[in-house]
This record gives sequence, structure tokens and C-alpha cells, in this order.
Amino acid sequence: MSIVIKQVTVEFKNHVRAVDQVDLTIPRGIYGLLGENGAGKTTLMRVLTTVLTPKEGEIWLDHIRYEPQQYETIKRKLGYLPQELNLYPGLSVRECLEYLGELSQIPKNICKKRIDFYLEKTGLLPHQKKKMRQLSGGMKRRVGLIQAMLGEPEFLIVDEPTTGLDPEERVRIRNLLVDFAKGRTVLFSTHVVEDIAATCSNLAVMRKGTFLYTGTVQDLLNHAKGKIWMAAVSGEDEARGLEAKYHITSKQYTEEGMTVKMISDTRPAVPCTQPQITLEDAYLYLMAPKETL
Amino acid sequence: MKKEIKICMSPYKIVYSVLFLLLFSLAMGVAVIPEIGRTIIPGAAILAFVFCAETRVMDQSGQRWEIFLLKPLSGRICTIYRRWLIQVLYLYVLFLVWYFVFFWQNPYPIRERPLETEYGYYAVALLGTILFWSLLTLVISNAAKSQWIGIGVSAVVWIITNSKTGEALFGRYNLFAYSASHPVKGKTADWIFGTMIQIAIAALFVLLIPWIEKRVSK
Repeated sequence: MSIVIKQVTVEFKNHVRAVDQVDLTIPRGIYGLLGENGAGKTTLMRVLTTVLTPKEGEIWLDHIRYEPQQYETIKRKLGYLPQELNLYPGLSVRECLEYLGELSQIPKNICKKRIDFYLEKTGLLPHQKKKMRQLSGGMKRRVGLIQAMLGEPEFLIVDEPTTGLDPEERVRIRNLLVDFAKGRTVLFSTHVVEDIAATCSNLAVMRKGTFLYTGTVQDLLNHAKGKIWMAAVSGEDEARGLEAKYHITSKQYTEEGMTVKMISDTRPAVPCTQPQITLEDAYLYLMAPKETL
Repeated sequence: MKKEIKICMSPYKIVYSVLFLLLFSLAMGVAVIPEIGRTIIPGAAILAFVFCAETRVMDQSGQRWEIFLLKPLSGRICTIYRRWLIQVLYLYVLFLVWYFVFFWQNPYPIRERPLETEYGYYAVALLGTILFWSLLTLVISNAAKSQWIGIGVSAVVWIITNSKTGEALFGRYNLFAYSASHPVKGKTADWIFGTMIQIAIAALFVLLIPWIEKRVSK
């Protein structure tokens, strides 16, 4: 299943263009959507889930065009974990999933098997009788993910599924998504670069409603080759001096003093080396104002 | 059904509905038995339109609307009907039972108006009241995607109809014709048309629900 987005624009009543003439092709597998807060990621996801209608443009889910008469067909192929989700607090985990399964018109026996499977896979089986309001944030996210996957959708959209979670929970959710993506399409939206680095080979970077980059993770890393520098400085004063001249992305105290990482198109005028480029470096290079490089 | 009951009949709703009736029965005086039903009906209307306002829009305020909209339309419509029915049954039984709570005031019986007959009339008028006001608020809340607009509009309609102006304007066709009718001298014909109008409009609202749900999901 592939999704093709052509010249899609979403404009709100106050004439703010949350998504501005974007083009994107999402192939099978897990596809990352990276961007800062307010970039337009959630708006784009709401368009893909038919919650919002774009002002202009076309979207295709395989051979099915996004238009009102096709929405019911499209929705049957989708699973969605929104950024904010508050499932029924008074229901237990199992009751909640059974209820959502009934709403999705999944046959009872099939639904039960899937719930058992996903509860086991997410480590929630011991907690299935707990009320939703008793769960931690990470557990609630896992339940949210299960409800999105319950219908075995061909296209799964997850909007910032790891926000606010501890590292163990984030790894658990990422692994779930990678397993689920086999033979399916998963659109994984986040502003945490590490999540994309760990799961995706393709991504798009969004800012202010447009795509700054679409392509493979490797190409994005290559794009930043020769632009990332690391220098050792004696202390805070020297670091501040460098900050005034260059775009500093990280500072770290060491036994000898401090190391700073910089983004620059040309070699900085201080002794420095070129470290291994991470996706975070490449992302920051892409997002950095060009006049600071 | 058990899950729907847990969803739409949360403990706080049950508590406030019982508290409302408790305060109501303490505050509203009745002198004769036929006054009981006439006193309860306006309060029943208020509780119905507050209680049922969030039937569908609870998924909006509960940050579940995005996944709710992804579910098949037929399933969503059935869910709305089920939740509404559960709430209406609860309110109807509650108010039928609460009639007898007013007996703590020792109202006088009226020989010409036996209790069984009065209670029967009350049950009919109550049915029309609960159906109409629960559906009025539900339909408006759904259309406006806001329970407060549903409650607000219902309150305005309540104020207009439950007043001397409403009595003068609509007479025996008023939604509150039963509670406006004389407890001793009033005849069935004085109020039955108001109840029939409520039931007819309620039937129309029931038919509107799928259409509104389809529209709001666009």
C-alpha cells in the first residue's frame, strides 16, 4: 500500500496555511515524519484520516482517491493513534479494547484473539483488568496503539506516540511499530529524532506547513557530511566565544574541559574534528538558518 | 451494553441526578396528590436536557473524537441510540419512583382524582417530557459539537415554554401543558396535546440523529 499526496493545502478560517502545497509519496514500510511543534504534522495526519478536508490537492490511498464518497472505504483501511487520546477512564483495558473493537464491527471471536495477542505483545496482559484511569502514561499509549492496530489496518498513522515516555517505554513502542510495519505502511510522526533514527529508513522533515526534505535517512545524513564539527575548549568562556560565531548544537563537559559540536559549511577557525554524523546532526543542519552557517 | 452503561452512566451523573431530585423534593411544596406530577415535570425536563447533552459529544471533550470518527457510521449511530436509550430509561424509572418521595409532605388525596389515575397521567406526561428534552439537547449538542450549546438552547426553550408567556402563546399545545393544568379541575384534554406534540417532535429528532452524525463527520 502506498499513499500519494499531491499539492495538498490545508487552510484554516483565519487564513493560516497549516499545510502548504505539499507533495509526498509514502511507500510500504515505516515512514518517518519529523518536524518541530507547529510544523503541520498533526494537520497532515488529520487530512490522511479524513478528519480534515484539504482546500486543494489530491490524496490517493493506492488506487482509492480521497473524496467524501470513498471516506468509509478509506477509514476501514486506516488505524490511527492521535497525539492526544483519552480512552474511556471508567472502563478496564480489556473492556475499552472490546468496546472499540465492537465499534469497528470486528467479529467478537476475532477481536478477542487480537486483543489477547496485542496485550501479550505490549506487556499489558497483567494489567488488562485495571481501569484506564489507573494506568501510567506509557501504558495508556500502549493501549492507544493497540486500538489503532486492532482492525489490522493496511495504513497505520501514529502521531507522536512516544512523547513524554521514559526510554524503556519508547523502545517498546518503537519495536511494536517496526514489527507491525511488515507488509504494511506506517506513518510515524514525531519531533524526537532518535525515534526516527531507530525505526525508519525513509523520512520527511516538515516546517511551517512545507517539506524541507523528503527521502532516505542515509541521503539526509550525506547531506550533512562535512558540515558537522567537534572542538575541545577549555571552558565556558571559550565556548561562549564560539557560540557567538558558529551554530552550536551541543556542549558537553569532559575531564579536560568541554567539547562542543558545531554546524558550519566551512571548517571553523579552531582545532576541530569531524565526528560521526547522527540523524540529529543532519536534522539540525537542515533546520539551521543558512545565515548562521 | 454493559460497557455503554459504564460510559454514559458515570457515578458522578448518578450522584448529581439523585441530589437534584432530593433538593427538588425538599424545595418544592405540594398540597394535593395531583400536584406532585405537575411539580416534577419541569424539573424532569431540566434534568433530561442536562443529563443527555453529552451523549455523543463526550467523545469530543474526552479527546476521543478522532478515533470515534474513524469507526463505521452505522456503528456510531447505534452507539448514540444505545447511550440515549440507557439514559432515558434511567431517568424515566428514577422519576417514576421519585413521585412517591413527595409523599413525605403528606399531600391530600382528591377523591375525584384516584392515585392510580393520577399516576398513570403522570407516567404519560413524563414519557413525553423525557423523550422530548433528552432528544432536543442531544440533537443540538451533536449539531453544534458542544454540550453547552445543547444545554443553553434547551434552557431557553424551557424558559419560554415554562412561563405564563408560554401558556398564553401555546395554551393546551404547550410542552408544559400538563404542569400548567389545574391539579383538581384540569381535564386530560387540557394537556394531552402538549404531550403528543412532544412525542411527535421526539420521533422526528430520532430520525434526525443519523443525518446529523453523517454531517458532523464530514
